[in-house]
Amino acid sequence: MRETNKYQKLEELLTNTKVPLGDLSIDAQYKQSLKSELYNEVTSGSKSSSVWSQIVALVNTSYVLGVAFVLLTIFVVINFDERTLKSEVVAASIIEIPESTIVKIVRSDPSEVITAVEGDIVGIGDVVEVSGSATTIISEHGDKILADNNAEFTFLAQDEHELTLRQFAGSMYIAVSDTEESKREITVAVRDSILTTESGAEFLIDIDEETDNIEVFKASVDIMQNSSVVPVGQYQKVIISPESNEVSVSELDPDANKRIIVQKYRKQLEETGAVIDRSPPVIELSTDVSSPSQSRYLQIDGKLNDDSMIRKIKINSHEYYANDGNEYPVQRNGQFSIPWELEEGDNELTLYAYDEYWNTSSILFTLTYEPREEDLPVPTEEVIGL
Amino acid sequence: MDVKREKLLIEQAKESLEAFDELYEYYFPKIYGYIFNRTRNRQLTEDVTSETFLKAMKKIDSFVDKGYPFGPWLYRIAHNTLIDAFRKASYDRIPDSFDSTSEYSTDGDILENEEQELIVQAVQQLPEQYQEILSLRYFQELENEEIAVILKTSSKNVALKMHRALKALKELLSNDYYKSRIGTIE
Repeated sequence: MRETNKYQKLEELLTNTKVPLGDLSIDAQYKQSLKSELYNEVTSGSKSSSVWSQIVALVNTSYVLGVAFVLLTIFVVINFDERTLKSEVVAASIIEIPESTIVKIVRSDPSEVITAVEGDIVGIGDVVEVSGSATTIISEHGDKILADNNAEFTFLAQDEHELTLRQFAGSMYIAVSDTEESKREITVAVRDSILTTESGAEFLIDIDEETDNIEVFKASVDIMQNSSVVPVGQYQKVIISPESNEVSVSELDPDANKRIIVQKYRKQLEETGAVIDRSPPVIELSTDVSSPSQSRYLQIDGKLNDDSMIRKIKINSHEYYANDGNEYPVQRNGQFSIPWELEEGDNELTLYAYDEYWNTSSILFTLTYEPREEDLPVPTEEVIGL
Repeated sequence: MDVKREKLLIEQAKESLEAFDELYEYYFPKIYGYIFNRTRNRQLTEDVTSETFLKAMKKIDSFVDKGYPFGPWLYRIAHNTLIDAFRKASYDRIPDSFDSTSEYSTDGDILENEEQELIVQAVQQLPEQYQEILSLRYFQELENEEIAVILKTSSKNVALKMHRALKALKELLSNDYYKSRIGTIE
């Protein structure tokens, strides 16, 4: 109510700016002739009153021709070195995208290519294309497109017919596990990249019912619930009743674009019989730690064995997030090869391994660096007292 | 229009477009008014209205009553058609009323004063989603719940976006250009 009063004057101005229908004096002849024109166009499908209609008609004459037209257009528009992702969208969706990302929607009816903007609807049969490096993950409860490491498009099923396309950057995770029959423990973990919110992004947690246990791994995040910002530290228990089936964390950017960061369905887990991993990774180190290294630089190699994907490795204060690709020192399947620079003498290292559900294990080991004679620095005259 | 009557007409329109006639008569002024209030340009309004009803008539077969009325479905088509039109065409989104020689300005004093013109001008400078939500609320006088159906979101989210939109508009109107013309808005 306070907010309404705050903008009362503005609201009055806006209301007064409305052009009432009565003042529009719509030309009756125009209205009638338009109707006839539309009927003719729909029923005959041949009368096209505009260039656009002609193009639509032309494209619609052959689906194959239409697809070829679209692909050719995209081929011309998009740089050659960009990979283009095509994902069939099977139902109506609303698209939400950030400013810097180009998303194209290929309309199925009529066939056309448009550059998507906030709020665009993705219709049945439309194709969504994301320029840039992209992969796609299609899941049972929502289709996901990964545009790059920091941008993710998610199709979230709203009901059996509709999907919502949203995008967010960075990563946030919720781990859900059953603690008792009547409640469920939820852990919210936030990766740093998403939290560089100088613009003051807000985070929402939408929870159907009461609470269970929400633990947020980043105290600086503001979480918004029921339109009120609540410091993360105040979340202790979040109970989700057995009937409730959804918890989600979303970000609201300064333009009020709500981006679902993560969403979990209780029902989904129960239906699919997913097993929540509660076991920490088992660390296998293949780097020889028993004999001293004669090189200052070495690779710390090994494998983490776990039922889930690996989240990250931390060695002393250095963190390595798991990612697929040879350029990453830690793979999501647990293989790791981390370059390390040793100090001369004994180097005590603690390696912490985290799986997707934040189960953690660690090992302590010592690497010794003993330089070869020829690698030792030649003493200067000053050092040897000359 | 009575909901039952509307449902009946929709089902009939899937079989024969003649039944669309009543829907057209009922919704035409609403859609026209909605588009006009967003564009303030008669030519663009007519084009978009035409395109909207063309799509609606072609897609009426695919309209499935899932508890959402026909109106929001039509508004959504209009909204998307409008966005596409803004992007594709070279329409000047500044209202015709700012041009003394335009068709609109000879159409009567629909915008009564400079203040209204400036408000319209400012709204059109906002992001499209803000224009959309402000237009649905203040020009179409729809409630949050109705807007939520059109935008396929929750009414809570509509309220949040409305707040952001009003805030953005107020900030815009607080710059010197607008302040010197319409004064400070408390």
